[in-house]
Amino acid sequence: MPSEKQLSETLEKIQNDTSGFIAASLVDLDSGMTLAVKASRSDFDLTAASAYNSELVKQKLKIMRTLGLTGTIEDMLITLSDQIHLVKLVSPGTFLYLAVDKKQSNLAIVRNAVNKHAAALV
Amino acid sequence: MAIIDESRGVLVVRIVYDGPALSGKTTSLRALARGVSSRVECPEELGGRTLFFDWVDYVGGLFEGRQIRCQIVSVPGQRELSHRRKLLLESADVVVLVLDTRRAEWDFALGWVRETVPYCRAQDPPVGLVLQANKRDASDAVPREEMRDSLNRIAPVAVVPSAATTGEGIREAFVLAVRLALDRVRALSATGRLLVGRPSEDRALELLERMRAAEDRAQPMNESLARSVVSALDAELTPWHQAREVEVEAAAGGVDPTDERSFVPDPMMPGGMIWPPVDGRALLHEVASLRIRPARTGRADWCGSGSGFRFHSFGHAVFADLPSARNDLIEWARQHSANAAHLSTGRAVILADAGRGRLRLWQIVRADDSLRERLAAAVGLADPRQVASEISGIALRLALARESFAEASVDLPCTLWTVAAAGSSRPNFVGLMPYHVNSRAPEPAGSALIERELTPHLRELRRSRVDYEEVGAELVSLAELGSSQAAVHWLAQIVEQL
Repeated sequence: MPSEKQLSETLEKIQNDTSGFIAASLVDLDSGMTLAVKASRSDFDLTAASAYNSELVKQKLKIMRTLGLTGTIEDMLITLSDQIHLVKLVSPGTFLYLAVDKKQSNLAIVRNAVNKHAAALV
Repeated sequence: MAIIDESRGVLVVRIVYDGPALSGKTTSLRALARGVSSRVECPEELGGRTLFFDWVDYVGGLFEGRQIRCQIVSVPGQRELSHRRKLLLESADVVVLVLDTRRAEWDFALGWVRETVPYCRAQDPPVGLVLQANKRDASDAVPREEMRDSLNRIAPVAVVPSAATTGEGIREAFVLAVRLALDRVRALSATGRLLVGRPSEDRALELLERMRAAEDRAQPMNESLARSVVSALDAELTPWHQAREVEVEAAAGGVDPTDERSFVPDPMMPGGMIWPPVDGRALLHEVASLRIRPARTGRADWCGSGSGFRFHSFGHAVFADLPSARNDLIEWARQHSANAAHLSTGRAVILADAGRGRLRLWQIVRADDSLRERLAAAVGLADPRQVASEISGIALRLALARESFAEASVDLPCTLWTVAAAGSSRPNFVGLMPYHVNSRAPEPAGSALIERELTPHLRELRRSRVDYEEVGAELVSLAELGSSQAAVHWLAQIVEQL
């Protein structure tokens, strides 16, 4: 596992590659604790967002078990009226959470930036 | 200072940039102002030195539907102007301490940290603190590891590296500061102390007038003195620097290395130090006002309780550096999460300052009633049949808990003290969460568990109650009546053997 400093540097690279970047965090799925954070807006509570999104991922995994789906989650996309939120599972126990401004970005940019740097988060 | 300005629909908070003279406060504010399309107002300065304060007004972000208006001010760093600095710090919702991290200035900067940390923590609610480690682009800047080690020895405070001349790190420090200010606003709001109305100083000139009025009342400031302060700045720094060195050396030589700072719940602590991230902070807010002060036990653990909460830290759960402390915090948080179905609610795991740069891992547990309390209430009942029914219920619940705890991924002790008295059909663990795998003997199950937990109490009951025979007969009869629960039969066997 990379150090917190290395993780923060990777999040910074994602920030640099993503126009409209709002915030990103690497989150421990089990506990909801952030392993690294990066935010450009003061009004975005990244700690709370990360914790709640870990619940979201856990619920989705539960749904998949209930339905007998054997595949794995690659990512989860939530499109708000003004933001795009992407949850990318980078390992079975951690996920990357990224929020961007929809006006300044698009899904292709977001996915490209995430896929480019996700491997460095494991 | 934080106040809701209803007439404008904004929340006003004050962010104070503190730090020694020439550390880069004004440069930081200028860089910040450029970044947020605002401008710096400096009511009075001399030769580029701030005499009162610098001021930046910035509106941005939302808090509970209201825009956030940040009054960003920097203090004059000269020691002789410390009365002005004090006045500004008193109005802070968060402090950004700008430090010059060049080798020659580093020890001096640490002196400011030692001075500012206790001040911020002593406020009610505590004022958040961000250390902006400035001049990181200088060739003789103190290496990052050394910087962190030195700061960790004082307190685990959020540190943001910066180079104010290029603007690097300025926005990050500001964003973190706003977040801490909002944490303080939440604490004020939760305790009904968040003011509503017009801010006492709405503009830079109003703040200047207030500061001048305060000086006129207290000790009129001679402007020529202020000028001489600035011109004599270099001469001023050296002796203070030397004096601080002497103080630091004396402190290092005279303190017992085993001495630890007592745990004080701090709802303003950084997010990465609390689990669960959201509910844990809410719990910290709840317990912060309880004045529970844990003490060290004979086994070197730390314990404290009162007002429905228990604080506990295992003796060895202390860390010399933040990364290893965070690793343990996350590992323990995972154990809590993985076993949430077995654990009582109202729990938090906290990494707290233990003094001298160390961190200690704490657990806070809401003290729900256990089977021990239920048993204590049961033996006081007048009707022997009710006493027997309660004891029988307790035995059943204990056996159920043992089955349930066996499914947990950690070894949860199953005793009268650790099983919830009431609640769902699947009894919760209400005790202290074990820390790491220890060498405890395997927990007994079945009749051995019922015997271990209830036999001493049944003996005491036989000694203290004149109608014990009726209680015992009722317990045996409950088993004979054909209860399908094994625990009831085990209990009857114990009674017959007593």
